Amino acid sequence: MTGALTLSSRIYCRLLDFYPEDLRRKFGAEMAGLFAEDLDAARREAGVLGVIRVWRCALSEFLRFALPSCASRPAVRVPAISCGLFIALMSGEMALRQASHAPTLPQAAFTALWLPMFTTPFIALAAVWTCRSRAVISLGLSGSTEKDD
Amino acid sequence: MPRPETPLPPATFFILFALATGDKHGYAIMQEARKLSDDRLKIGPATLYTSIQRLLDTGRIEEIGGPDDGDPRRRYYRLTKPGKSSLHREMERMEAIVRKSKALRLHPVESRS
Repeated sequence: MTGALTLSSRIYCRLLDFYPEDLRRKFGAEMAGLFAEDLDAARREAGVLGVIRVWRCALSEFLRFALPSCASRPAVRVPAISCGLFIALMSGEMALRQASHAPTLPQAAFTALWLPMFTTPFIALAAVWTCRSRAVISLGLSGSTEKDD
Repeated sequence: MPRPETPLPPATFFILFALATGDKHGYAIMQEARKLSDDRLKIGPATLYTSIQRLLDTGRIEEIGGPDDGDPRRRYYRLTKPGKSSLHREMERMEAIVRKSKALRLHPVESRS
């Protein structure tokens, strides 16, 4: 079980990379420590169910804080939009072809459209991979859903 | 007439409530907040520290040095005067709601009898 807890803590530390930079920079170590402590206490108190409860809470926070923060990064948004456009174009083209039983676009025109859309996500992902260790954009605490008075 | 108060988010309210019982570090705040909410508040590390950051920014809590025998890696927090009045205003707001619901016989205890 100790191995599972260590693995859980490692996974949580990896997930912290996706949280807003300001939050991670100031409280990252404490968040990781608090998660490990909470996980250990929950396991002693309620066994596997306790561990599941802690992970469920951590994952719901991941969706509320980390995902909006990631979505605001151009390095993530550009490939996502590009992939979406590519899938929409492919689906539309296939639907038209099935409906009319005939090729809809000349091959050259179709290639000219889909080739940039297909390659853009990979180029963007390669750029993200290359620059992953550089803190280019400060994201602030944009993942928060709570509004104070 | 007093200015109507915006309700505090549950996490913020219970963090202030937890600190009203004494200075604490992050994990102790989380434990106390859960206890005070009868385990109804699901508060994780990100919610806790985002709320703490906002409370620090608004001056409602402050970071203090930990006790000599405490873990040096932990940060300790204390409720400030604005934090105390913020907590009291929220409690008064809740109390007023309960009073009104009792007057209208909508309060669960009143409506049962």
